[in-house]
Amino acid sequence: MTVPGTTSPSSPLLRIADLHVDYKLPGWRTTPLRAVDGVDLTLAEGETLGVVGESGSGKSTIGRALLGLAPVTSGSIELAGHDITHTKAGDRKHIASDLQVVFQDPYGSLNPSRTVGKTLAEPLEAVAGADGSTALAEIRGLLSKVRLPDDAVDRYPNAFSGGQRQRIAIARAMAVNPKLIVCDEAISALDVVTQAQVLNLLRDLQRDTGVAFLFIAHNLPVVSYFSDRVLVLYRGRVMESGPAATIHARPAHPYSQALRAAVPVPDVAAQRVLRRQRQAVVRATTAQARPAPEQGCPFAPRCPHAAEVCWTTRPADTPFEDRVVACHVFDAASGHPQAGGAPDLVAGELAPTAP
Amino acid sequence: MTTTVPTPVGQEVGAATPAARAARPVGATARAVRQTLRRPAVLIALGWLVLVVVTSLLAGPLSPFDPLAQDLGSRLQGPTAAHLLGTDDLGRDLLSRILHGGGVLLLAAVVPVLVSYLLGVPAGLLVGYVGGKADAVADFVVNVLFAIPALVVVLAVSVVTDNNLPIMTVVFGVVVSGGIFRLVRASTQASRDLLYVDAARVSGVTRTTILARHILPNVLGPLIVQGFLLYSGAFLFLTSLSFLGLGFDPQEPSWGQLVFDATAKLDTDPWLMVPIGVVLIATVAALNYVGNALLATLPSSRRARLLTPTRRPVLPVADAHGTGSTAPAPLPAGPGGDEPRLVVEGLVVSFRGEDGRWQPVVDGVSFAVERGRTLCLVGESGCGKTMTALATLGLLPEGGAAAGSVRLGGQELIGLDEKAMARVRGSRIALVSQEPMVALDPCFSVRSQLGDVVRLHRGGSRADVRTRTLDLLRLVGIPNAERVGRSFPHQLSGGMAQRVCIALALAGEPDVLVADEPTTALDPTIQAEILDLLRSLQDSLGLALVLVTHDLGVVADIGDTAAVMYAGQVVELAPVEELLAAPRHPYSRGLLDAMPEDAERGVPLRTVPGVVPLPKDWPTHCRFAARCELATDACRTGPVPIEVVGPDHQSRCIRTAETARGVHPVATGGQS
Repeated sequence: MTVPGTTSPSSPLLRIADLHVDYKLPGWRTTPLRAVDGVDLTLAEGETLGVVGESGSGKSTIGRALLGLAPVTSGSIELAGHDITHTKAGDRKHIASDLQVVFQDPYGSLNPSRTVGKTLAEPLEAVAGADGSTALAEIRGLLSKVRLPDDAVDRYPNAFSGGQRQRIAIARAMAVNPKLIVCDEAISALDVVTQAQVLNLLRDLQRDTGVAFLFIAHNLPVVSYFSDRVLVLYRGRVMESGPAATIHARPAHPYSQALRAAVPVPDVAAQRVLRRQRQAVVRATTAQARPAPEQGCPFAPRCPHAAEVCWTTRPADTPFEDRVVACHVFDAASGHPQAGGAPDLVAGELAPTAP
Repeated sequence: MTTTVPTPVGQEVGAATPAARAARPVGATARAVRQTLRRPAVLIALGWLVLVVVTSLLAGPLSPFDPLAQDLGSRLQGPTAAHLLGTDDLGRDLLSRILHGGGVLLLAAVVPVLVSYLLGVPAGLLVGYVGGKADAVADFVVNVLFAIPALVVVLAVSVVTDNNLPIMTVVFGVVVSGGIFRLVRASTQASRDLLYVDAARVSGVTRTTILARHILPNVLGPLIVQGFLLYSGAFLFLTSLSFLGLGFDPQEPSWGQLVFDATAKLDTDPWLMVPIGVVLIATVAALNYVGNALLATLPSSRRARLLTPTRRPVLPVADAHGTGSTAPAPLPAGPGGDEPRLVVEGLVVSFRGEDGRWQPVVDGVSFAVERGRTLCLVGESGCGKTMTALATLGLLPEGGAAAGSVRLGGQELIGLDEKAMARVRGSRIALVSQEPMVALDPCFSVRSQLGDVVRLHRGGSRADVRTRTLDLLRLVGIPNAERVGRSFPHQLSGGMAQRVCIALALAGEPDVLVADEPTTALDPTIQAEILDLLRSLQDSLGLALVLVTHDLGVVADIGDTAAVMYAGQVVELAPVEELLAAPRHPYSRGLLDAMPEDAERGVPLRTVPGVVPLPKDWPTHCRFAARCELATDACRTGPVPIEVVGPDHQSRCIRTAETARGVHPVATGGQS
């Protein structure tokens, strides 16, 4: 399945098909933990694909699998026409020039004992084989691109604030002019002003260089503001995917609706409405919810529209308007008592099922 | 336990103190090592080692006699003017023999250390980094090495090689290299998953470069310490060999041999043992002592500091008002003239800089919270929100001092001693911190941690404590309290852990709850649940809540009043509805504009350019002027007082009157 709304019909920059990633848990004969459970996605050049979900949704694992930092159990990852599914990070010299990363924690992602200059020189040396003097000119260029002063070259990361460090991390990712940057919660640790500055910076860089972003975050409004298309992930599965604007304005899947209503807005009256909404779109708090079923829909324990079928059968990916939703309510053939009630569900007018 | 709630001594602290931004990073370890080396006991130990090495090097010129020269006329003498340490049974001068007997030993003991480093460090780095099968194989080999008795092997080698000391020391080094290997492997495994290592791997940096550049520096500290301990072990081992007459030329004096000679005469001439015994014990003790002192400086073995220092520095009167005037801003009067539950007036929090001057990080903050109401402290990191919150609880990190006034139900808290403050904390004012996982003790079950706090505040029988514990868990929305009570913190999800933390804070039935970014580390849906929980607790218990956040959405959700902080000052204090609908201070407007919630896609976010200045860079005039769109020359002439601009509404801006008329110009999406 390909996400609708793909801008480039020819060959996409990135194609991930039926990706599964299992983590082996410590201990003898433990069942592995399925972090990513059959995810498909494509990403065109210069596009931004948002991946949104909560902790444990597998959103970061997708990024790490793409970067070769997590082993792929099954499925395939294709970058610019090359299969890189099982290429580990260590053997990626040829991929590194296309694919870079910005991590969440700006304090952990820079080596505290190396100057900013040395940190930025690293990808240049590794990929382009540049030596110190030629690299220096490029590094100064990079610093001005991310709007940091020239003299940052000789300073250590501890001289910079979280937002400035994140710019350094962005500069490191931009150093080799990659085609795709994985932003793994790149703005989640920043406060709101810095977050806005970094978002603006990323947008400018994209406009100037045509780089594509896989933008991973847990805040749906931020993701949909910044991305062209959005993938909503829950427990390793894609719940809903489609154009960012529609998902932001009218989230379809009950989980997307819960996610949308959970993020408070800075307006007292609007927030009062949203607060009522967020209590209506989930049946149980995470503390009260039963464990998710092995089969079936992972959101069933908290979903106000859950029915028998949700606990037993995995929902099919069903096209709805301009997106794809994995929910039995949207699938007329699912046997869900409310099947076909999709328009009401999206409008927030579908009555909850009996618990 | 004197406090019921743990304190987050986190990065905010470091970011707010001016000392944290030195031009070059003096690593925490380097600093600790330097401090350790200044301790007198360590200095004495080091001094002794230097003395031993130097005198052994200069043994020839320093010795009063030839160590081999026999003088049968003066056998077995005690200390005399000619022979300071006496003579042995052949009349040889003991001092000279001791001076000559250490050099070879000290030098030979270096060999095993070098050998085990050469083997253990590369192998440990590689195996720790690669893991998997290589790890299993290497682990097996090392286990075998550990099972080999070093002494037996070296004795066998000495027989086979005809007492060849270099070979014996190398073999000894191989046998003990397992310890170094294990150490390096463990440190490598710990640093293998650091984000900057991941970033280097993504960039295609070669494995060797990553190991040398990013991982080895993390291993170096423990290695140096281990080197000292290994050297002292090797030294003692070689001394034992020479005691047995192995490895060293029986003609030349060596310390082990001296001990052997003394042992033979222990009954008749015990003095013989004294000089060499003292030298040996002192040398080994000094080596171990220095090693252990260094070990204590490593981050992993650093002991936790006291949560609250027993003696808190007191701000001198001259610094007690921060940079502002002596008069704190007027507070909005409470309804009916009663004093609100919590009143903070002219609060100043300062840290003593390296030059001894007090640097305020919170500079004259005033606000009040009524029963059942919520006050939000809003602003970017580095504005002093967390310090303000911690100061109300008397939980400032080490080196911090507070002045001004914090009144809880009429009682002044500033200046209370630690004992009195501990009684207030938990039972009348409590803290919920940002990182629930850090706030819970991983070693104890939820039930036992919560039970401890309940017992501390209410006492009662075991059954009472148990009932109350379960009640508290149900109060914070945990339905299966029995099961959650039995779990340990690592078994809880982040949201569940935060609920437990709230239960901990509520155990003493406080009137005021201070929540420092309680939802920032949580997922949005969990954040919503925690906010709902806090609100319902407020309704049922009448809690006054002080909530620190940088998210204006959270403010809209739960706040009644908001105090926007910038660079240590409150720049706007207003009812939340007013603040969000019509902010009067340009900084509040900037915060609001930076929210992406309703921003148009594709259009840059309107935001505040630049960053919050460090406390040492605070100007005397309006602190926001450098980032303000509205700033004029008048803004840069002098301090701006906070002005009352409406009922319950204050703003610290000279152009507040204009902003009221909607003169807010569009802040651009410009960057610093």
